[in-house]
Amino acid sequence: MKRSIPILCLLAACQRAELPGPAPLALEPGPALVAVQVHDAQEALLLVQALGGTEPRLAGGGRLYFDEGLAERLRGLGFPPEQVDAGEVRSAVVRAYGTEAQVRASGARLLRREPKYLLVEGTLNELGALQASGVALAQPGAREPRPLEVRVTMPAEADVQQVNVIGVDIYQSEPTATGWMLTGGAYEWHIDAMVAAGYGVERISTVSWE
Amino acid sequence: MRRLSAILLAALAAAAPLGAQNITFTTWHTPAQVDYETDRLQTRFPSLVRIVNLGNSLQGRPIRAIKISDNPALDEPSEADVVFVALHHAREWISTETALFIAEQILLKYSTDAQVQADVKAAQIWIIPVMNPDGYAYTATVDRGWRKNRRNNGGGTWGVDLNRNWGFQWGLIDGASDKPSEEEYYGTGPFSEPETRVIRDFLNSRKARLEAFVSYHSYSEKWLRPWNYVLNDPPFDPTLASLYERSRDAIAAVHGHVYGPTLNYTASGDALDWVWQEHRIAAFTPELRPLNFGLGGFEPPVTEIIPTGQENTPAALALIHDAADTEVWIKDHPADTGAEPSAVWSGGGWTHAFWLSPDIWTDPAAPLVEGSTVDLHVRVRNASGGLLAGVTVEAYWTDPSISTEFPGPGSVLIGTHTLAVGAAGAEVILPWTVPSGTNAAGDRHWCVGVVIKHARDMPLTTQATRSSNVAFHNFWTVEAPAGGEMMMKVTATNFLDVDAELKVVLGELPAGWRARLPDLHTLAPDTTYGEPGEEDDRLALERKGRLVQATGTLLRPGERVMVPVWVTPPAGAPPGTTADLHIHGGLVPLVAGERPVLGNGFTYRIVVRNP
Repeated sequence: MKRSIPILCLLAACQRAELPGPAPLALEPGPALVAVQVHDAQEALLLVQALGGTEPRLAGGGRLYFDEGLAERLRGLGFPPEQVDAGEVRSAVVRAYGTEAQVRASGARLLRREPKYLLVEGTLNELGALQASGVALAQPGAREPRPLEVRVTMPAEADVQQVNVIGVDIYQSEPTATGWMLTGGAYEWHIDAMVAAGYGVERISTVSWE
Repeated sequence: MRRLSAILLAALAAAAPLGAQNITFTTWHTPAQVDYETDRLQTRFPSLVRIVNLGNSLQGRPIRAIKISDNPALDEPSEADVVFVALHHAREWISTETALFIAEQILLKYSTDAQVQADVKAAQIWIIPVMNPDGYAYTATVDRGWRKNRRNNGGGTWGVDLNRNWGFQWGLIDGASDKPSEEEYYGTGPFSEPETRVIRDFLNSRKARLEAFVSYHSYSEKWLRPWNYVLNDPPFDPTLASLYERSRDAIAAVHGHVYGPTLNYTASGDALDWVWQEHRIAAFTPELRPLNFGLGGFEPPVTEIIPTGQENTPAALALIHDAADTEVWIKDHPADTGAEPSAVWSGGGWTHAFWLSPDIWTDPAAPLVEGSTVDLHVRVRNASGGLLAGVTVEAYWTDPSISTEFPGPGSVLIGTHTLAVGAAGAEVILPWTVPSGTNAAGDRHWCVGVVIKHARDMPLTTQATRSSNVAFHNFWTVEAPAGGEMMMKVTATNFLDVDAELKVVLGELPAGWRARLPDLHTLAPDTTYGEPGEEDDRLALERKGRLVQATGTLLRPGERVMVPVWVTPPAGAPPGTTADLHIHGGLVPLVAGERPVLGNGFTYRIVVRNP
């Protein structure tokens, strides 16, 4: 049965997930990191080569994040390192026993709406803020996180790329009598973004690892 | 006891033929069964197959290749290498089945199909049925829909998308993701994953004769060509487009399934784009059956395995044949035998002046007069031993550039001609009106390139040294006063899609003649084909140059530089004295690891004029 996603979203947002009473999750920021800006993949590879194969710990937004101990070598290679708050860049997926409003307020992203909890992803600082707001956090299950399978309808072929940019794992797309349709894997925050963009979204599998 | 022995013997006898049985494609093979069948191919065809462990996955599983060749235990560097890879994505089981199917078909046809036999003798075929063995094992035991590898990213997330982890255009987020929880997570750096590094290193180890690369995926029935990181921008469309059309036709001819042309969304950091950028060879990604989710998605009915293999085998065989055999060809230089590469870069420049094909000339001969119409002659050679109908000759002219390729971004079609070519070869004459006015360098120096195609022998690259179907000839004559210095300009354009370093080396001149170059490191590009470089881009370029200790001119994609060359004939040289100056040029991409040299050269025939 095709369901109305906006109504579901609204209902879910108002519903407080059931608290199981797990032990508080310790959010460890890990070793200190420094960031360097790289222009493209070639420069990233050349830098790793110049570092003797030492790989970055994280990457994103045109930046590579290395252990703090490499700061001087990076500077010597022409890449001025910038101290970063590891809690701002390291992320985690957790089960959250709170409301969607609390998740949104923390800045974390909603991955799955499960009957007994919300699966969310956020930086350690975002998750710390969520925890500080009174939301209990717990480790995800061994098979989490996994996207939902969705069918998305849209007016034009060009919208397929818009869905791609939102972050949906597109399996396949094809024209329909009224526009275009694709199937893919999506988290709840992708679905919310697609709905907000005016696309029709239908969940075609609701497998849960709970 | 005797009776039991007899039963056992009978059972063994019955079991023995099993070892020779064809692979059964009526069920999905588990990872262990894939290994078993792969090993059995070597047992069944010991003179044609070796199983090679290319390296290990993150969790230590071997990434294995089925090497098919007439001497599989030997590395035969003179033979073309063709590589087929399957299962970047763990859930795309039909890609593994198709790779196994094609491997077995090649081996079965070897004894019955003379062309396949000849191709196997002339090529080294590498079929990698499972590139992502950790993910495959996980799909077989835990989660059938798993896509990525099994990297523990920390923070409760697992897996990197191996087809977003390759090192060209890695890190873009419209077509990949920086979020570890997502299906298209690109990893902590380009080639951060052992699986992509293993295949990259293997491809690089074969680079001298690597001719074609196919990466099987599913699903949606498409045949994709670069680029994938942007929409609607296939580079040097004519070469890849011809192969692409032939492949789609070959697939459709089997069961009528017409594989679609393109994806309508981007995917950055994928294998296909990296292979094209790094190796400039034919590179394709088939998205196999089924057509859509409703027909099974990643889990189509097992009855789809055999037709998928059947329809993809002819396209694979055609690429192998292109790589392996020379049916029609054209000489790059007088000593060219049709073997590839016809010239290689050494420290002193190219081993042969391959930019002076003896099979391309004009009547009247150079010097060319702008605006005049000349007969452009092309000699087509035929190594097939028989008559070849339907050979197409395409001729182009372009501004000469150290970065010339055919067809290239600036190529202008002179004409095409289709003919039958006998064993003795043939000559084609096309009218060509020499362009009026000056070229981009401000002088009258033109370059003519020829591409020869036949349905059974297509060019797999735009590089003349790497394809016996592509050749070109520079037309240029200059006059210089005896004892006086004259300046010529050499154009170089970075046609690559990555930053590059330009190297220029002057050939030797007769005694008494002198030639010199400026310090290439001081030259700045004077033109860009695209947007002018941002200041940050220029700083990044210079930083990359320092990382590789570049000494040449640094060029961003699309940038062009004029390199002055000063030549002085000997004082007192009588008018009419001539000397040929070979100027060797190479573009060296600013990439990690061994840096391949692409490019060509110019030859100036310098005539001492009357005082």
